[in-house]
Amino acid sequence: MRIAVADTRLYFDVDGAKLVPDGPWMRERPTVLLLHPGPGFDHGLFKVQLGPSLVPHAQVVYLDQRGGGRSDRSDPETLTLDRWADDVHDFCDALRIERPIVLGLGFGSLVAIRYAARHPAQPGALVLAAPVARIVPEQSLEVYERLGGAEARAVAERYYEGMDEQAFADFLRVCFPLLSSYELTSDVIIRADWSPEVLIRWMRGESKELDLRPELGTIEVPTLVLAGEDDAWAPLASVQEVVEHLPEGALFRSFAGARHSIFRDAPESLGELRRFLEWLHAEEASL
Amino acid sequence: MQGVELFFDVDGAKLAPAGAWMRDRPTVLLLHTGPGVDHSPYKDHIGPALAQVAQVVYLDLRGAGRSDWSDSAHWTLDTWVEDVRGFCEMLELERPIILGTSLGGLIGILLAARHPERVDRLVLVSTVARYVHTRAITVFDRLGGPAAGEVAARYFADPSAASFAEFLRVCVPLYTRNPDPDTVARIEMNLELTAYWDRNERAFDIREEAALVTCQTLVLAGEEDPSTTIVGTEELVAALPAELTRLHRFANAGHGVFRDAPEAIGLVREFVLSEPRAPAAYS
Repeated sequence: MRIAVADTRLYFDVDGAKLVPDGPWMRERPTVLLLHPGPGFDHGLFKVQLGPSLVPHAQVVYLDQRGGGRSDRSDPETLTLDRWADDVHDFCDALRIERPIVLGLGFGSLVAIRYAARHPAQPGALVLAAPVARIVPEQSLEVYERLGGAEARAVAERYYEGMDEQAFADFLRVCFPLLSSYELTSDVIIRADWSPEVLIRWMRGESKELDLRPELGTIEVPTLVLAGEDDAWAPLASVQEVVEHLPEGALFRSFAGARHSIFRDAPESLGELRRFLEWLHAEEASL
Repeated sequence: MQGVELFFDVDGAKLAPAGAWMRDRPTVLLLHTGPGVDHSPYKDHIGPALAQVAQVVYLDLRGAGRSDWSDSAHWTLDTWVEDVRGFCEMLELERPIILGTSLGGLIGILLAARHPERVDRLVLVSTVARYVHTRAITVFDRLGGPAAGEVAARYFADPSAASFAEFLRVCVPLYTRNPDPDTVARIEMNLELTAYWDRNERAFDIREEAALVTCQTLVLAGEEDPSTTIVGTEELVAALPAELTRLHRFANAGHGVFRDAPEAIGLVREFVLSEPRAPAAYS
């Protein structure tokens, strides 16, 4: 399905009903909106494990963010964090999704943060998986080096410093596999409908000035932060910086041995997520 | 949609990982019975079963359930057909399979006849081309005794508040062999719409438009259905293009079929998974 949002059309998919029979009532289940890594990527990788694990507990909405997947490629000038965040708001508004639990992984968590900061009234809760407040290459380089040696460090360095098509190709070959502890080829690279030019453009541009620290303090909805301790994209120190700038009360869990593919590398993170949903439900019931 | 907001729900993903590809699964749009009933009874049986193999979209029609109720000026087949067309367009539902029960079946037929490019295939459950009251009264007689037939006759002749209440009490329980009070309790009823429709809109006859359908059509009917009778369904099937239409009758099933004859669910599943034949006359 696709729906008109602002100046573009966004692809989304849904699994699990919102209303389910429960004795004499129709019971409403929470909506979890999943924001994929990127930018320029698509929702497909969530269909392998994370999405299906949530369907028994919630309605799961998969969104292809502007510029990637089956959504319109859109005007390149609009490929900014502000617009990606506003799209989430406008998308939920168009479909009358109320108080979504917005879960972002990697780049998706940056969109989730900006969205919650710009539209504080809409979200019900946030799950920030592998978030960073700033792109700090030195912290990432250390992890790439630890996992992939000097070559990985050198390739990652060019990716952060002198991003072009060659640097990106080398990154895909050498560093990308280090972001996951499983084989990425079929699940992530081949099946995805992605636009690398969107990623390249963003890495060369907006990512350089990214600083979410001031807005993190304004996020008032319940927030769960998850980190993989071997994640080179979101090194533990960077995730901790996010947690430090969130208001007190944000929940934080990190998983030893987990990389950027945190939900697959650390299946216990899925249990953590379910507990968070249960806790939100209990909170809501007690209001 | 044409100035109103419609409630819909979805179960089952459209795109599923399959090796190196994302595989497109079929979309089935469920149009509920009524008028005045909502999508919720589908969630007892056929919806979850189909969600295993397809993306299932539940829609509350205008006037029903959690959609805007609008007003009686818009409680017409033409409006509902346009609503469904607009809904599919807005969400880019490309050629869904439309499964409709009773009122929903009528809307499915009219949509397929008027906008063949919008409909992949039809599943018509407990659907008739027109209401013939004597047919219904005959079945109420058989199922509930002459008293039930009389109550139905009184209601059809004069759909007043009093005769409607009596009809709800005596006749509606005869709709299914396996009534479930929870299913009824879960429906967000719009009885005003039911009453309005029964007073003003029961004179339709869609046989001519049924003949214009160009897609494969599976028809399911219960032989013990007092509302949309098997005789009425046979008449509809005669009006649909014979080479595209298949009728399955269920001996001990009432209105809605699936509750009384769960084997019908397997038939629909098979139909959904089968490859559609090319439309017969596509201009």
